[in-house]
Amino acid sequence: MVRLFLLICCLGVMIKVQGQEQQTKVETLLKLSKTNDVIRLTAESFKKYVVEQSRQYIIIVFFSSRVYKSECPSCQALEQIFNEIAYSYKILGHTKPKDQNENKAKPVFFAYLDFSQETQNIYQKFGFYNIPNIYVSTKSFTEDSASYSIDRSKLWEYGNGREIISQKILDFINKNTERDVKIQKSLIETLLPLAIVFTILSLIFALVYFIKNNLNNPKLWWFGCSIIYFICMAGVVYDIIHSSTLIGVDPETGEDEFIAAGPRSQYVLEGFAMSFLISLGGLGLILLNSTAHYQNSWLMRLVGIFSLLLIYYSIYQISFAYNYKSSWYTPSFDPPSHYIKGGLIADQGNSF
Amino acid sequence: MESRVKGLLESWSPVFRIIILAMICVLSVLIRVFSVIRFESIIHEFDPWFNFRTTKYLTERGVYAFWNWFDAESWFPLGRAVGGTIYPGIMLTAGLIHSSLHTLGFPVDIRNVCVFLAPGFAALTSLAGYFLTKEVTGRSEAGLYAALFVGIVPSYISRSVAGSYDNEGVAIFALVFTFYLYIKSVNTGSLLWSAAASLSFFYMVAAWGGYAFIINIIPIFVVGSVLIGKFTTNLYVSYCSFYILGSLLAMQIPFVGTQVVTSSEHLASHAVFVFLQIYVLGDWIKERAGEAKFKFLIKLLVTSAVSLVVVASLYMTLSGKMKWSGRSMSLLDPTYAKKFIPIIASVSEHQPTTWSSFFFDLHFLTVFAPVGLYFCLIEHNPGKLFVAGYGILAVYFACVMVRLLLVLAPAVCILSAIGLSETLHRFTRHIKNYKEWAVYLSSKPADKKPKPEYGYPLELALIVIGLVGFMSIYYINHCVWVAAEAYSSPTVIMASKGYNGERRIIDDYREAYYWLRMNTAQDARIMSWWDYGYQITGFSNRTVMVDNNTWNNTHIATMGMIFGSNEEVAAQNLRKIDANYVLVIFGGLSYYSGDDINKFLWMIRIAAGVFPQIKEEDYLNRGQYRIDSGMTETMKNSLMYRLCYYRFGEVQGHNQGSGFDVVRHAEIGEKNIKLRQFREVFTSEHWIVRIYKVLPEENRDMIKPRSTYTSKNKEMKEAGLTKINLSQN
Repeated sequence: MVRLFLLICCLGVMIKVQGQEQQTKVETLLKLSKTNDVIRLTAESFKKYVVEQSRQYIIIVFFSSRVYKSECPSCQALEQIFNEIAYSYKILGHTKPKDQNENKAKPVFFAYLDFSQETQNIYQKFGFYNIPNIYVSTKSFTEDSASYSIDRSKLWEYGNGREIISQKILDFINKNTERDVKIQKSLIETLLPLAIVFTILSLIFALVYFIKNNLNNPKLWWFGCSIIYFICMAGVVYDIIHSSTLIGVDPETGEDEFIAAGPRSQYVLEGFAMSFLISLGGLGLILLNSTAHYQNSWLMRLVGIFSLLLIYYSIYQISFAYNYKSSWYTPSFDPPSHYIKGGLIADQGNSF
Repeated sequence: MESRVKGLLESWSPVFRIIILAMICVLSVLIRVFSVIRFESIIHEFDPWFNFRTTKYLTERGVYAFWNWFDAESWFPLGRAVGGTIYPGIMLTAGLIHSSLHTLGFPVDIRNVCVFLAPGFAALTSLAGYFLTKEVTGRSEAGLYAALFVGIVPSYISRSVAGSYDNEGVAIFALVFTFYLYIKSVNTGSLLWSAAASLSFFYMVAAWGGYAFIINIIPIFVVGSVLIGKFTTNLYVSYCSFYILGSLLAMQIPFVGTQVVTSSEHLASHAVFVFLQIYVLGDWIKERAGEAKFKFLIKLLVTSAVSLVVVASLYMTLSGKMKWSGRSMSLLDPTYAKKFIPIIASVSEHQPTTWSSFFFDLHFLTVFAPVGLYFCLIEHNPGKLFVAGYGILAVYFACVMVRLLLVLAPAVCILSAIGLSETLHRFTRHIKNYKEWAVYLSSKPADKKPKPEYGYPLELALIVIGLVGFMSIYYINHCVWVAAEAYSSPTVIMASKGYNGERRIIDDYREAYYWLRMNTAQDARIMSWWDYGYQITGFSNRTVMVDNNTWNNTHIATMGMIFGSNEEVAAQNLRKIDANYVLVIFGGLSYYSGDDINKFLWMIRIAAGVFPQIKEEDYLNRGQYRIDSGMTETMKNSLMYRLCYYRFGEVQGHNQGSGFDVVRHAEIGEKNIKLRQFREVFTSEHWIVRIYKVLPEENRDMIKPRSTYTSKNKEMKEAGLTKINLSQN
């Protein structure tokens, strides 16, 4: 009987201590999240706040790397979305503890675990091959030397075919935290698109105002049009959308590569260099035409020959670069040998 | 003597012009016939098959039946009201030509009319290019150059080879011709030309959704002209009449209808019409009130308007009443679409353009166009300003979307023609005026007269003419090669080269469609991915569940769900939607990479948007799409996998083990597939098309008369009441 009493006392003390520990953890996390929407974790704090027992909160961990961030557009994209979601949860009061034990009432914290030598082991135990990843930890889990016993349905792993779409990430987190949070934008973010539009409009008006006396100057029109032509021919939109690099690396030799293989891809520098050559050829032709006004016939010859050389150089370089990109591009005056076969005469009787 | 020769040449120049134009027209047609010479007279690709089918219906049943046609063979069981959901221009044109030829006694098959329609229209586009360039420059030689460039420019060839029976084939002619008529109306101020431009615009609206380009570029030109102080009464008359007539006519096309009023694509035309009226009213007030008062009034109005817009925008943004759509955000931030709307990045036609695509589709015209732009702007008139504006806007659009190179091509051709013809004009002048130049050179410095205008040293002139000739020939060489090699494949027939360089024809599509036509019931319903819908209805005359019109996402998602489900669930759903056959495209044996296995993830993504039980991650092993032993169970059990790889394990590959998929470079994970709900009924020669019959549902387990009878009999026997006993009793 005494033993039973002592056991109950011990259990009571343990529960109280655990409760206090839980309380302390929530308070610490709450304090940390006040300064940053996303809490930075170390290997030690990861173990304490994510792996170990005794807690009454949900913690969502974003696995990424600061060192490789610049080479990982997906990490950048997901980090931005993750930060937005963390901000939205915080602003809507989901980080505050409530008196209920259900998942949907537990406070939700957002954390970031950077890949480093110290945290490498954690990444391995999760079995990650890629970054970025997200894990929604609703309860503590056990670990052995090789892995964690985690619920993989709460794991968002980046890989081939997985899209980083704001709404999908939010849905995944909402589903696992049992909430229906919508993205909340800060005042600055709300006003930013409007500010961009007004700035662009103001700049246009300012430009028009400053050049109003030259607005009827055809040379100015031509200059403006040429700039647009140059930028468009460089495939700038392609570069932006595909996040093209300035130059590439040859996968076989590892050396710098200036011209991307295949006609449907390009590097930034390549696009601008080719657009420059195209414009150079055009300028050569304009220069050639302008010699008509020269009084000195030798100067005319000199500038004329120089213009012709410019034109020849530009078309030669453009053709050479295109041939390099597309090995199958072999235009010739003679028809290819397989043309002598003629039309498709034996059509297997399927003519409709 | 010299003047007599000059006079003679000048008097014959119209004849030369007509002969050259005729030769360009012939060239424009012939360069597009490679596809027929190398393959055969056949309709190409996917959309043209629908156009062909509707044209056939039109010629067989007449215009009214065509207009009211409810096509029950597509989108089963929903069907499609054809008349109200198409741009009928191309069908009506082909139907009219077919009917005229028959009336004249030429019994030409409608298929051949459709096949050769685009090359015919390419010749007309060359003529339209000639007239537009001549109108803006006033020089025939520039027009002739433009006609040549437009006729053979690769970008236009890509959409107008023989067999490419698509809207763009006729629409580019309508585009250039509308511009010509509009510039004519601006130059003359004539209502007649404006009305003609409106009629041409009407034809464009009937032919292609790209008419939005015209209804935006003309208002931009008008506003631009007003802003740079080039407002004229001609401009006012031509725009107002074109806008009113054009908008009214556009509304007559059922597919467009009230969109003229409601769609944002037409907004610019309405706004510019109102702007012009305000501008004219302002002019009138200025005349009456005086300059100073008018300036004050303008300042007051502008300040009030700007303040109002700023305050209203702030209020609406902060109160959440104004939200930025994905499209608007894409304009502000080009990476937005990539990050948040990835489907945009997946469509090849919607990809932004690289410099090499510009070069492949326009070649040296990219170098010549800036020269034309220079002359259009420096020596400007309304027509030249229009062409320059068209060129710059089109180059921007083409930079954003590779498909819009088609719209850019005529502009670049005309600008190049203006630039090159100006260059030739200047340098050939020397040959005409060589005497003046010789006198100028031989005269002593004291007696030196002013240098003759456009006089160049002879050798320089010859080199320049030679260079322009060389570049033109090189351009023609490129165009011919591109037409023959790159843009002539009909898609439904594929050609490959054997080890000895001989041509091998892969005709699996037609083989399979012919089988369907000859071996299935007239009302059989074929289920396939939407890409093949138009071809199945066109070739096989059978009903399909979905097709290339893609108007109903839920219906397409259902097909994706069926392909992604296991055999039992898929069969159950197929029976529910009354499908009899399933058609899949498989390229794993014949290096055909555009097959359904490669499209499967997109099917899953589309299905996942409607059916929550379909999850993309179930088909991926640690984020990787695999068909080998590392694939997921869901992938292995999916209908798509089972139908594509059925019996594939029996196939011994060349230098590889059995069941080796040459497209995915992997040995398949499941070689012994046994179908339970489907029966293979057809596989084409190279296994590209595989057709399966959906088996009828098995008898339900509960209804087993034999076993029921046996158990009853047993009970009766136990009770001593056998049949015999009963009869005996």
